[in-house]
Amino acid sequence: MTPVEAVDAGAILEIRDLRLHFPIKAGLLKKTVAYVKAVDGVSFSVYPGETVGLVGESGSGKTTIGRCIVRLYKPTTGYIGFRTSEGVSDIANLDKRELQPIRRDIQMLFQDPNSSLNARMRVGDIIAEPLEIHAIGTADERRSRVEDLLEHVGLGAEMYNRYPHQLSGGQRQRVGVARALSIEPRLVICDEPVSALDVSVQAQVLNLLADLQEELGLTYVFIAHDLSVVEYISDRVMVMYLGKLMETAPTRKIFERPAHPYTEALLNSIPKRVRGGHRKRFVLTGDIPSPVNPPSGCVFHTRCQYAKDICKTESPPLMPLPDDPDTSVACHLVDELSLSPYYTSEERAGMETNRA
Amino acid sequence: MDIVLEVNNLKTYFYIEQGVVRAVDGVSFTLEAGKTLGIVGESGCGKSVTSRTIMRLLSPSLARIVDGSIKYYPAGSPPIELTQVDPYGDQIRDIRGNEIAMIFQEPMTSLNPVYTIGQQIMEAILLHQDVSKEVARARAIEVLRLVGIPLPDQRVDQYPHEFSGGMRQRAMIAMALSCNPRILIADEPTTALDVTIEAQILELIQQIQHDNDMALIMITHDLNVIGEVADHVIVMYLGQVVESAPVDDIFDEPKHPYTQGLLNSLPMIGRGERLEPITGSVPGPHERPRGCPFAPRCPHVMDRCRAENPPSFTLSPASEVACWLYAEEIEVGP
Repeated sequence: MTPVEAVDAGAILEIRDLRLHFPIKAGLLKKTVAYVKAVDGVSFSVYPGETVGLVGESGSGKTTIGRCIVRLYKPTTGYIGFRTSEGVSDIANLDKRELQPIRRDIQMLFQDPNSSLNARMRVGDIIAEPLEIHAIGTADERRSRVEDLLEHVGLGAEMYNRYPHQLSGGQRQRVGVARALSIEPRLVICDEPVSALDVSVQAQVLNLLADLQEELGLTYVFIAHDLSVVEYISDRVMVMYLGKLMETAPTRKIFERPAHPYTEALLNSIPKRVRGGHRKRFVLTGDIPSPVNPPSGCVFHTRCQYAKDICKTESPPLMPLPDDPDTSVACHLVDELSLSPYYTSEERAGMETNRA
Repeated sequence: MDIVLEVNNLKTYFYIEQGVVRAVDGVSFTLEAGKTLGIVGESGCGKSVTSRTIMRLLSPSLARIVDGSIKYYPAGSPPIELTQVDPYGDQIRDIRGNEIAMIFQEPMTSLNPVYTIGQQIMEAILLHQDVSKEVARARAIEVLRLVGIPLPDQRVDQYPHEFSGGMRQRAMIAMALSCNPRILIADEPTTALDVTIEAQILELIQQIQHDNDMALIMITHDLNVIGEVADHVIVMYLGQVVESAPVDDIFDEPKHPYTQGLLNSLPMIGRGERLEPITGSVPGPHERPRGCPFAPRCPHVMDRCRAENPPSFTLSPASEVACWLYAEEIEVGP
């Protein structure tokens, strides 16, 4: 493993060759018999003020990456450079004490607001806890800060003394947002923040996240499996499969010009209404293979309709497209394939005129 | 028209310490053989209680059917009033799982972890059909093959934990189909699954429905699933049907402000504009508003809405809407 240095000067977060292999232990002596390769060689950068969407099926490793960034997991190998005013630190290799100041800058918003809030704590105390941990302000200052936050996320200061069970799902997720923002982080990892919410409430929380980003200049890594949600909120999208990145591109290009067969398959499995009826979805056969024993060569070849012999033996690297450096793809056949988009640029123009 | 199920003004109330919860409060629909009825609504709207009332799965000590009727029309015999049968009796047991089958949301929690998949499918077959164990096992393997499980003669002896999420849901479907039901009730069958697997499961359900001329009730909060499979849709809010219409009308000309709000809340790829969510959230079971249940969140609310619950206005032979906005249209009309 060669050490890497920060090269991407503009990035707030730069991840290089990140790997997390969970050992599987068995037998009396708990010998390690195999590894789950949850994240297997992922590199990308995140720039200040943008939202990067991380999509993939369950088991693709998207949540694991999020948890490595906040260091709920320690990566097996790799580099996670985070830029602060004092320079760049490699989060992947810091110890607990060194991490403490950085944790102020990176916060996480969890999927299930029912289980991520302590049922025995009052709403106000839940939101104030990060402030206490980082010893910010006096008790009075903390209280007024929490009341401001409650107003800010649309709950109202009178919620201070309520318990989580007295709130609805959407209100609980707003508490989660307020807690994540209490110590003014710069980067927020949103792990499926709306997938447990009802449709009408989901839209409210998405709008809240977008407003707060604009107002506070936040950077989001947005993990989700729902592509229509990702399209709505992200500037760039990264598509993951079995612990590897398949494609990264600006959001619009992902939908207009997918470059990886897996991206195409995901787009084709989104429900879509065309000409007064729902289209028939293309069905990707089979399940995602086990990350304990991933397929040889390109990990997607077992489900790829275009797979050739080379795909079974050699793993394709993630490379920028020659004519479009914003898009990077890990596919041997990238020059030969012409993949079907979610919409053509004319259709897209049509959608935009319709609403005007 | 071959009607298999007719639900009329069904009301199921829960009597608990804190008071009465009117979970289902006047639901009506008809279901035809070979057709799909979609029931859509957010959590707490009563869609699952409706299905469990039809199956008579709710404990009578907790949930009471206070009004209405559920008529099931078996093939070649007189209709059965399901609200009147004993929920623990032989009559409902003959129907449940045999003529009316159900697929539940979470395949992880609705399969028994200590029995093999095969044993669980055979249980339903042996209960309802007078066949030997060998025949039941052969039938179990056959239905597993039908739902696309690879190597069904080996998989039949495996336990639920050896199946992936999508395969568990297929096994649930296999179990529901093992007795060739006339009605299949699918309660959020794809909610816990990835989009790619969801597409597989929906295609499978529709293909089996087509082959067996089965009637399907698809219960979901996901309008896109409804759009793909349903012929007719009822939209529920706080136990009531607020709109009932053919599927294309729901998407192209939604009438009720709640249906319109649901559609506006859905991120549509390429639309690019800001979402317009419905304000507020679904009230708790004990905070039911007076008048129209949707009035506190409705952008078109009028004084009348807060005072009186609107009846269902028939707009065309196939569509009804419970909203005062349409009262005049009807009164002035022919």
